[in-house]
Amino acid sequence: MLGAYGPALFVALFAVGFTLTVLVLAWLEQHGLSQRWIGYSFLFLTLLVFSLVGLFTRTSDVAEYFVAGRRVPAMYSGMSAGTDWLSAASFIGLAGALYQTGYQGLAFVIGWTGGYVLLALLMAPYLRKFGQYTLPDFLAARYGGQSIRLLGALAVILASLIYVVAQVYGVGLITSRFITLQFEIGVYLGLAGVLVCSFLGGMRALMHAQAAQYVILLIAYITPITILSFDRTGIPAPPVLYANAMHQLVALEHQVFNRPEEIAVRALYAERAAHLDNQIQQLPGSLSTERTRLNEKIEWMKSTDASVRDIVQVERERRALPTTPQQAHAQWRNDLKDARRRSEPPVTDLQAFALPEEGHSRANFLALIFCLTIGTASLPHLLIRYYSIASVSQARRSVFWSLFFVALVYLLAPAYAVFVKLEVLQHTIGVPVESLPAWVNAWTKIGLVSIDDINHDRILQWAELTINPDVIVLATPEIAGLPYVISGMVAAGGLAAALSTAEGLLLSITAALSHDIYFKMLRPDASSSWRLIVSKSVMVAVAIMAAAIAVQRPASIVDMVAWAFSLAGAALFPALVLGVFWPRANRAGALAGMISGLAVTLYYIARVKFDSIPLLAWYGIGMDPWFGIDAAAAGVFGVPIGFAVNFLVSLLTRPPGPESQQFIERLRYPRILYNRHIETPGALSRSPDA
Amino acid sequence: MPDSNPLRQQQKRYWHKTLWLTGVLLVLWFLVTFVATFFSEALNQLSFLGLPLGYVIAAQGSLVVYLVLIGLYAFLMNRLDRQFGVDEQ
Repeated sequence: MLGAYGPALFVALFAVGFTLTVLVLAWLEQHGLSQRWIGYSFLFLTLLVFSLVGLFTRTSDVAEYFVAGRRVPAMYSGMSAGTDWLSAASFIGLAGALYQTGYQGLAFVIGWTGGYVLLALLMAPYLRKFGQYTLPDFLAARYGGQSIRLLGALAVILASLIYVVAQVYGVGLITSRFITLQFEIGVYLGLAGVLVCSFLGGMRALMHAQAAQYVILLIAYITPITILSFDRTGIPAPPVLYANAMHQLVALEHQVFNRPEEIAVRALYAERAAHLDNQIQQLPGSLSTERTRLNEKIEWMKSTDASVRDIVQVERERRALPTTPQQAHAQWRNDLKDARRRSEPPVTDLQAFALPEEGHSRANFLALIFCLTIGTASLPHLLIRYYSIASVSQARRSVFWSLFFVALVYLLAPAYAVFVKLEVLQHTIGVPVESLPAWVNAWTKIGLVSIDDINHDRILQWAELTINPDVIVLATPEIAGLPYVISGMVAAGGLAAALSTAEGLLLSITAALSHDIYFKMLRPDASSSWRLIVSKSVMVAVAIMAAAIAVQRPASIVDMVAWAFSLAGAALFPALVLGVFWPRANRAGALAGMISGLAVTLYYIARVKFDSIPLLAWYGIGMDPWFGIDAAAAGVFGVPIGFAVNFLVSLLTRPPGPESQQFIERLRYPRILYNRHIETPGALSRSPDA
Repeated sequence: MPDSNPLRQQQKRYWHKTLWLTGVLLVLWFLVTFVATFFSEALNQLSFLGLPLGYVIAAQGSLVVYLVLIGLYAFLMNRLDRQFGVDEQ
């Protein structure tokens, strides 16, 4: 577009432009621009970037649309893939997970980066050599047949859809806090921005939009934590030099967590847990007893001179009572979990493997790393990026650049957790509830921070405070007392992260539906312009569906993301890796492995995470986890089973035919020197450069 | 016979070297990812830049190692391609 130095020039110009915009807004804030308008400015700026890029790169060529013409240089595509990767879960969720669980949260850092090694060594160069459009393309070419293409497409759609819902949820979260839009409206508005871009330009637009978004999100992530760190320690280099803050934090944690009032509050939660446990055991009788008790209490209060406020309080309690025993079971089980967690002494930041409630925390930690690494190397929206790179050797370099750009953000996440936790301990714990800092109120209003004064002393204790981990990064500027423009900038960064990932995911779902299922299976004779029309309509439909699911708020961002990783890993990883490295793997093995891996993972998530699925009228399906492994790490069962089944079934059935052997032969060498079957037209000969 | 074709032999040697390199790097990857984290509590007894070593490895060290592994792979493989004449040009 802009010549040889185009990409670098584009990124540099954009960075300057963005910084200038922030400075102008800061100046305007000084001169009385309201917070609401700062929020709007950032939202519309983000959406404007998308739309403009989409407009300038609009294309109606299929290869441009899905793989950006296969000529993107390594560093640029690495930056763009990095942004594709950095999702709402990375930008918003990661620091939050570290805040909440300390060392345990580092599983995300290791898993999400370690996966790139597998991606570089086992996937990227071979996918680039194959050089078609989608992962199901690869599966179909390697194993042959439409059944595996269909199964692959379904797996791609399932994992990507769960993942995209998590992103859209993040968009709703940000817009509802910073521009005080309703959660639902925010969700649809954000998606509209994504659509304009991907709709017009496909992968080509994505490349440029994501490079621009990387600039926004990096500046937005670095600025607040650097200022905070400089302010508190005098050192403006948080990723390297937070050792002092860390020591201060650990000392403070020991002091605060052992205060007598903290211990008393924890004892109260232990009592509440015991009470709830008892209630659950005595269902359904306990529900009606509870209702009668509240009724009598209200009657009694009305007959005495109880204040209206107290009566309203109890009436609210009565209204909150679940209506059916099933609901009561689900609700009380959650309350019980919550009360138990609060009754345990909190984990301090440096303690490895000490989550008290699980007792299997080392196993869980390693299992989660396993799922996240495997998932990273099999998530379709990341893998299809490597189709769009200019050559195999560029693909290898590109993975390096992706990880490099991702690491810049991840290295800062622990610093966020440490500094914010320090602020919370210093300025909210032990403080009267009436005089808490303003950010606590602002976030309480949208339900992401909650205070439960269980001992009625009107003073906040650690165990009484619940902060939704998704808040940490977004609230940092307010916590640090920075101008609102910085908050707006962080919100824009979060939006950029969520939207760019949502775009990549939408594109991969669209490709699976329109390329694999429609074009390759239903209507192979469709013209290329008709294919694009189908793609674009499918994309709109999928986007609306994702938004509709997200407004139900099905689970937290990090949970949903972890499920997507487990599912993608279990369904796709064995078939892809064995497809490249084990010539004996055949179609029957791959199909059986994919089905069993997917089934085990779904089964485990459903039964461990949910006690009931009202949509399917399944109640009481909850089970105790196997070996204490969390539902988030379900892939630790699914992936090995997928491998084992693939292996066994392949060995028990006939070896694959010569086409498969020939196909593998071609994947292995960037340029073929000798091939017995060179004259036979293989699957690869259709790619433009093979 | 196809198997005695020198070009085919050359391809075979290239593939063996690729597998070997991939294997070695995967072993290093495994050590950092799973073995180092498994012994994190023990490593936390040592300290690095004022922080416990186990924590530093998990929070930052592993990332740096991954970058080095991927960089090394790209460099060595691209060189291998040229040595065996299988590079795309």
